[in-house]
Amino acid sequence: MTAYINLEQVNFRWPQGGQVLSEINLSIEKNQTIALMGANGSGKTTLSKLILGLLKPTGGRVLLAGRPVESYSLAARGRLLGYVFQNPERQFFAPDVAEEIGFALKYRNLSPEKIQERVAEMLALFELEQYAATFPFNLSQGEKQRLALAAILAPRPDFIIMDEPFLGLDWLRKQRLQAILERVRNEGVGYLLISHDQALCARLCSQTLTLEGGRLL
Amino acid sequence: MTENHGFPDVRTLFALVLVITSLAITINDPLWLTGLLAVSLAALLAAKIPLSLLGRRLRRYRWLFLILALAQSLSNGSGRVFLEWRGYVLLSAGGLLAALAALLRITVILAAVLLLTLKDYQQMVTGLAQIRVPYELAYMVLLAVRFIPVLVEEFRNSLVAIELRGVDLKAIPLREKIKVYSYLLMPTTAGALIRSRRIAIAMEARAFRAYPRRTWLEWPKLSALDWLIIVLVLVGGAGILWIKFKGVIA
Amino acid sequence: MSSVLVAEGLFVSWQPGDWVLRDINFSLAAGEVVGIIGSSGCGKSTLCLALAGIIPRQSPGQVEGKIFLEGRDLAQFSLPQIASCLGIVFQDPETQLFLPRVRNELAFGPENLCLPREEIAARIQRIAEEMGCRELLAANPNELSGGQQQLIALAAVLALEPKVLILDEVTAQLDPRTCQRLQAIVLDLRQRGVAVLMAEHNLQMLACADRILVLREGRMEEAAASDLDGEEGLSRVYGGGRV
Repeated sequence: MTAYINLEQVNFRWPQGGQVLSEINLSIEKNQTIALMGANGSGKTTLSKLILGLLKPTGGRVLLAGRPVESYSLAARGRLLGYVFQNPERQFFAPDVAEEIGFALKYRNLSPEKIQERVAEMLALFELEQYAATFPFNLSQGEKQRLALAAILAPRPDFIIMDEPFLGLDWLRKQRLQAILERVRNEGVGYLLISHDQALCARLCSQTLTLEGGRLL
Repeated sequence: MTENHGFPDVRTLFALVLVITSLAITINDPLWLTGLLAVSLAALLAAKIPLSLLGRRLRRYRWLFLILALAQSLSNGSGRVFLEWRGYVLLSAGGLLAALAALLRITVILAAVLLLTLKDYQQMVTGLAQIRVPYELAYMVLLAVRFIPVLVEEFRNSLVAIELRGVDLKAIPLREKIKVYSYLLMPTTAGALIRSRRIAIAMEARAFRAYPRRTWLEWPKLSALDWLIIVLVLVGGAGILWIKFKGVIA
Repeated sequence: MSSVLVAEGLFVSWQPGDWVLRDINFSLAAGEVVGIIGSSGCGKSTLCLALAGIIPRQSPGQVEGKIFLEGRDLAQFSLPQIASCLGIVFQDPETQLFLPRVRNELAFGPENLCLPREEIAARIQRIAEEMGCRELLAANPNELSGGQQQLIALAAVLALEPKVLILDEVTAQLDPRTCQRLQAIVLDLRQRGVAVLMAEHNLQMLACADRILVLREGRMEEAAASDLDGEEGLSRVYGGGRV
């Protein structure tokens, strides 16, 4: 039985550049909470994009739920793995916060009542109730990060990947986001958290992976 | 894009592209166009640019091709008529030739422009400045040209982001699809505008346009071979135009 | 010590009448490192943009009060003129880099200042050495990570050899080791008499500041020693505004 996410001997290099990742072997189960750390340029974001098949490995293979990741459509991958981009603005489409959270639900054959219920639940969990009708681009940085997470978690994915969700947040706002992620973990959602913050990673994750010189330590 | 500082100089490429494209636009004779295509392909081969790149671009513009060829063919009814419908000439020898010329013309232009991929965008700005284009203009033109691929890339990124939310764009009905695309338009355009504005700020914050002149770290010199090609191409191009159009002018 | 950057009764707004910053008075001396802290969205970036002259020249906004750069009224200068003396690095590295190679990025500022070719080449070598990015000179900035891009953005500004350097939350994407390197670079600049103003959330980075100012509800005050110490002080600093 293979793990939920499986990387076998994965290599990656840019067409004209040097090697970014070499011989990455990794298996992650659904309910694991894993931190991915490493210096600037060590390939953390690249690794996360390889898992989703947004980049193609130059060697080795990536399996998702037992099948090669490229055998799924992008949409199917998105249903298996939620991906929170480093820049939350990148993933906002809807004219207001509530619709943004409900966006992915509309395409999953849920009844309007069910969607509304779920949106209300997420608004409460992420402390965004008073901004339900706000244009996402007008939120503060911390609110944007929380909205991005809420929108990804709304359809209840089994596992999510977060690329530096604490970026640009001050001490207090980091604390708030951390408390929310603890609640997410208690709901049984697994995640891969990319971050530089050792203390946060230690508190939020059961295991830490470190990338150095293109290899997993 | 690999770095290439030596021969050919970017100005040599400018001369080649300028002459080949102007000939391609002004000449209608398929035979001459075929000759022009041979010259461009030879230049691509000499520059070691893989012809598969040209193939990929041709494939990208295949619809444009078809429409252009069809329009040319329909609007020209001269020569022997092959197909007619209620007095309208649908296919004729003249039409076929016109369509062929249109196809050749686009292929020649695409091939010539591919020569520019030998140089990166900084080298082209320097090249423009070397042929006396004001430097502000040279940078602005190239930033503007680059804006389009940035916009396309932002749009593609947004498409990926939207599909990763579990929305299968192929599977949803057309009306919904249009709505999703209109959703994408907003963040893409806003994103591209914000980006280009921030880049303008970053440029001025690094003293861009502080003085009417500026210096350049790299200011390549033309080699003898560059000079030879430039002179040959300019004289040859002018000569061909003269031969083709002396009757028209006289 | 002589003040190189002075703000007197500075008011800044994005929309007429809605002042984000109110009555800011401060001065920055040559060879001084000053940190600015405050909650996200408290106006730190707005202050940086106003001091660098970007508001109102390139960004729509209103500035009242006076800013003096090396004793001269900032209002008389255009943005590129200011840039020859004052450098600013922003939070988002992607939009600060626009050329195909790192080397071109480092050359861009000195080229605009009309420096001779040999001197530009020497500066590039020296700065790349200091920043530890010599092996990246031929790289395409698009293929670098966010943290590497941020270092290149800083290097490109330092190539202009500014007397005043404003860093607007530049450590957001940097790993702890790169932060340390940046700290060493800032201390080295201080040694050479460069004045550094940094808006920061990163407490490690703030440790190299000579003094720290707090922005709270649009006003500026000196930070008390207890502000950065323990939860109570931190909640006081970061308490206001939208979370």
